[in-house]
Amino acid sequence: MSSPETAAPPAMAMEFAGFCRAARTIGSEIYGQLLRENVADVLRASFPLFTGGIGSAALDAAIEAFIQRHPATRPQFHHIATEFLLFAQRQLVLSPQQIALLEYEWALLAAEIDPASVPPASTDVDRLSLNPTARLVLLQFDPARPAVAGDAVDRPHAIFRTASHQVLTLPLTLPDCLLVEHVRAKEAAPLVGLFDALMPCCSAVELQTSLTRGLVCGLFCPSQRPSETPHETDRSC
Amino acid sequence: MRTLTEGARGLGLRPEFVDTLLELPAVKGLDFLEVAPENWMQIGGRKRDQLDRIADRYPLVAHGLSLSIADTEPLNTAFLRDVARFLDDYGIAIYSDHLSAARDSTGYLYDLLPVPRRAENLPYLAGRIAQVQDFTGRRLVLENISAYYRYPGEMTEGAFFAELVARSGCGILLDINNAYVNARNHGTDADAFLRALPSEAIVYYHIAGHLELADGFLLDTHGTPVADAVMALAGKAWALHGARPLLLERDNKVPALDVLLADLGYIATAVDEGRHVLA
Repeated sequence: MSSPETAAPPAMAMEFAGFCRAARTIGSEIYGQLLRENVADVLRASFPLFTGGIGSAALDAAIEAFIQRHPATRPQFHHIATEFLLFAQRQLVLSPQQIALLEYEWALLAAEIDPASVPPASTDVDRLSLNPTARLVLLQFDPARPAVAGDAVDRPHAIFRTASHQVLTLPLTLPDCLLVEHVRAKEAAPLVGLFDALMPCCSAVELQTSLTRGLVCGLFCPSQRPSETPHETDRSC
Repeated sequence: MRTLTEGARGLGLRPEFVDTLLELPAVKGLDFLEVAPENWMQIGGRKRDQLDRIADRYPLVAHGLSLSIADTEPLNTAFLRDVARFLDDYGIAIYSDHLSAARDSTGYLYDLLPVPRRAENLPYLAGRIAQVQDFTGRRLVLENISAYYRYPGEMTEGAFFAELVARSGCGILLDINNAYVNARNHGTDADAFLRALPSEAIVYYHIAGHLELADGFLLDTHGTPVADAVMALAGKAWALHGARPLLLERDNKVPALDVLLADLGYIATAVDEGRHVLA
């Protein structure tokens, strides 16, 4: 067997680079068409609201710019969505509403495929953790009617996947936000003392309502003591 | 790891029919399923749950899209580690990808791009294959792609593949439809391509449908039933190289599972019995 070559022969690199340059820049060439169709297919499937709202001419221009200029580093085809979002945030001239819609749809997708395992919902818990797939976002539109322009007021929402694989977008109240922040800050936050820590800002009734709703819908998950988790290491000195 | 018999028949696992498949007991005549590791690895939720349940019932083979073995950048070792972990997690013995590139110096392009088939490029490619085989602990199996562009003066595909196999020890995933599409589009000899391949390197066969455009140009769409001419070429491959596991690819306009299974059974039986070998 031949010894491994570490670098491509220069002639090969030059020949292949010329082929790729043509595919990136000439949309009418067959590989140029295929690249653009592949990206368009993924974007339409991943971002139906964004692609439906932007108009075909603007979408084509965005895809053209993406293919010509974006240094995509993720090999998986489904990560075209992630690469396009990164490109759009930095390089595309989009309205704040369009960017917000794109980011919202990406967060839905990310929660749907997040590799984390979500424990079944339960209200009988001693300790809490935040759903490991949760993304906390500020939305200026109603997720139930995302195509309708919002009122330019940021409202907090949580996007997460349930144990039964549903992806939910939950508007957060002030008590919700306080609970989320508290649970995020503490690993396996114990319920004992939880309300005492937050009572100066909200009533016990408000917190209890928020906690119950979060547990039922799966925003909060039952958690073990840190020392009981399988990957916990002994941190004592 | 579960091994496949020479007469095994398989389908590419598609989201369109995975729920139906999971509702059924193990289906007679479906011996294995092929998954693209990129579409399933590092993914949780419903897809992961589905794959775990499928893997309990059927042997899996992995057929990647993003290895980019023939590009001119350093191998993506982080990606390879993820692939290797996925193969180990699911006990997958066969890992294939394409003899093509998906990346240039700018980044990933998300397609299977042809690379120049020149003798002086073979040592470089053989070295890359050795690296992948070291990473995964498996023989790398490479598929012949449908290439819509030919570099001037390059080697024939058959001769290039044969030499690459000899240098690297890689296996071949022989895609019958791609061989037919290339021969039609470029006016080359599909029979000569088949004859050039070393039989012992062929690990399994792909068969699929293509789309014929108005000007006669063929596109490898995996969106139509398998053409009779491709069936005939498959018969010749069988006659030349012998039976191997056969996988029907259908990635677009995917019909119901029972239709796909009927197609698979018909194709496998017809090819096996030599009914589509042309005189």
